Amino acid sequence: MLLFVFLPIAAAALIPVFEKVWKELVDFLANAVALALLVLALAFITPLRYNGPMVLNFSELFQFSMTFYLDSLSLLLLLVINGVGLMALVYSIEYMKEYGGKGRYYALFLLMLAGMNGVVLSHDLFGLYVFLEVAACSSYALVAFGMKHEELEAAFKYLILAAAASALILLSIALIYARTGNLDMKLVSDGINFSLYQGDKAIVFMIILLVAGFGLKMAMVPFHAWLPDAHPSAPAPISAMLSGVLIKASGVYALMRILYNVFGISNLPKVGFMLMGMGILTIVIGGILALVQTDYKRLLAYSSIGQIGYILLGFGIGTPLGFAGALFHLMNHAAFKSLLFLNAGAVQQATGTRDLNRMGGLAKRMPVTALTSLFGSLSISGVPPFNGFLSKLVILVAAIQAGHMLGNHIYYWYAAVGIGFSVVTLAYFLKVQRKAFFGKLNETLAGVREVKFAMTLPMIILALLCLALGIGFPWLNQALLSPAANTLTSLFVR
Amino acid sequence: MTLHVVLLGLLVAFLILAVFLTDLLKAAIALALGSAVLAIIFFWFRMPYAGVFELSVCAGLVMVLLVSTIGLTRRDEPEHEERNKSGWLLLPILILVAVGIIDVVIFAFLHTRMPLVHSTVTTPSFSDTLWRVRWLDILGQLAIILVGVFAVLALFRNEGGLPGAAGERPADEEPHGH
Repeated sequence: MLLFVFLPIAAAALIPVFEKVWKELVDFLANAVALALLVLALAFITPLRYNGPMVLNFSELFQFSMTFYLDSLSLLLLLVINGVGLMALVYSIEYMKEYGGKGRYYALFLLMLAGMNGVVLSHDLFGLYVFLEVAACSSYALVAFGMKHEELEAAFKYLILAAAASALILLSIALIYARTGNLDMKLVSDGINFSLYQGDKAIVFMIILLVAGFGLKMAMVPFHAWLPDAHPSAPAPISAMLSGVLIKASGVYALMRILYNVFGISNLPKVGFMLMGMGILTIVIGGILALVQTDYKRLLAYSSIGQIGYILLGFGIGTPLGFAGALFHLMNHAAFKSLLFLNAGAVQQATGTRDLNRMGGLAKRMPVTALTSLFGSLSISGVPPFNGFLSKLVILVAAIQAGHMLGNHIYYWYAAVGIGFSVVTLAYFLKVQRKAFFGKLNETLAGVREVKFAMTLPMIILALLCLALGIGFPWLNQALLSPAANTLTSLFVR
Repeated sequence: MTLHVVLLGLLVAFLILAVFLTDLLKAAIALALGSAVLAIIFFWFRMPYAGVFELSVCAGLVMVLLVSTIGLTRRDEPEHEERNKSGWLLLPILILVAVGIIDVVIFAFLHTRMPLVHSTVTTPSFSDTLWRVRWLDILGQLAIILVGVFAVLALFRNEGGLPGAAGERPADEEPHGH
């Protein structure tokens, strides 16, 4: 379990040294580390299914008292992080050639992976915060990696807002420590719930700080201002990682883990209602703003905000079905949004522009990019049999089911908004397809050619994954989603 | 006026100076002084471990990293300094507001409403805390230092030669939404 954090940190330290000796080796080394991490995560599926959550207590090994905790929810996130990480790294082999400084890029990328893996494995609130910062600091540098004015400005804006988020999270952790005298999630959970039943108002303040802090990290409306600048400005594989994985591991996962497993907010329906309300607001604002964009990557960034809304809606419902839907959509969004950002990167590299109005007819020149982009667009728009259809369906069914059980009509309205904005998603992705890939070929793009195999391969794999996750839903639900959803229904038990 | 308010005022003043000063070296020195005052506050509130770390890492190591990085830069044209002079008028107001918020919210409001449970916690020794209890934090901090080093090396690299790099902006690449 320690390898999930230690291996990428060690590789990050060594890669710039190897770069001096043999430049081509760094591509292999970085990809080999990401592949090893993915295989390691896959190897945990069966043992975890039969033996239950695993605890790596360092006190048993080296007399360290901190622990790593791996349950079905952590494993799901590890698969997503390292799977998308591998795809982005394969894509980077060709894409990052023009940027230079590949060794430093891979080092920062692997440190970001280590940080995210640490976030999902940490069972200690301050440990979670430290790894959150490792991932965040690496991402600031990676956003600015191209060193153009726009990228530096976006990275600075991202840094300032993410630092504000970190300050809110740290203040909340400090208050939790002051209240309970512990940082271990299990022990904090015992202390917090004792307080909850005593009607402690300080708990509400801690929850508000956490929602605002992690809300900023996940770009939940109204804390979303940084994302439409940061995600499009970064190199394409980094955009894929930020939109596909980072906002989920650092924002959604961390918040839900603390709210449901530590604070036990299943006992506080008002917090669930607040999450659902924020989710709906995020769906609506993200969807409307995406609709009016003409910058390819900026449209994708606003779309990410909208999709985070669906995930929040699922978590806010607070039933096992809602959790399963939210987790499935989290996984699916990682697949299709990283695919769509890789498509956008390929188009930008081939045409030199991100302006949709200056494209057209690219399907003739870039057939693989066009076809995989179509797969991604249909998936995110919720068209069957792709994965996005099923995850949105599960969330909406969970909302209707909860409304029926509680006799509350607001759930039906939330489901209706969810369906309506799925149509809006389809509308803006049809716009992308029409303006970029179909129609008459723009004369200025006559010389455009398909990108190289190292860039098309991850796009093909992710496109097939979008289809496979939809078709394989029953197996996936049984093996990963239901066990992961069940972990959120109760407090930490170790 | 109690000593903690004076220290708080100094801390806020140094940190605001670190943000406002356009000379990077002076800003770094202001940050180091702010860290030193924060270390005194930690000692004042009987948190020696935090104080030692704040003094050694933030006022020491980070200062060295910042000065090394500044050494890689060159001075910009003085017109930028002229432009920001009006901002200095806001400085005393900002300091007063920040001290007021922190003093009222943190010290007066939260402090009295957050019952501390220190009596139930056994405090381990410094070496136990550092090398056993919080060992993973050291690994995390090592990773953050690596991030800092690679970020500086990456953003000051000369290879690549991207069009529009190092502050130039091509005509068709205006930033959006500002």
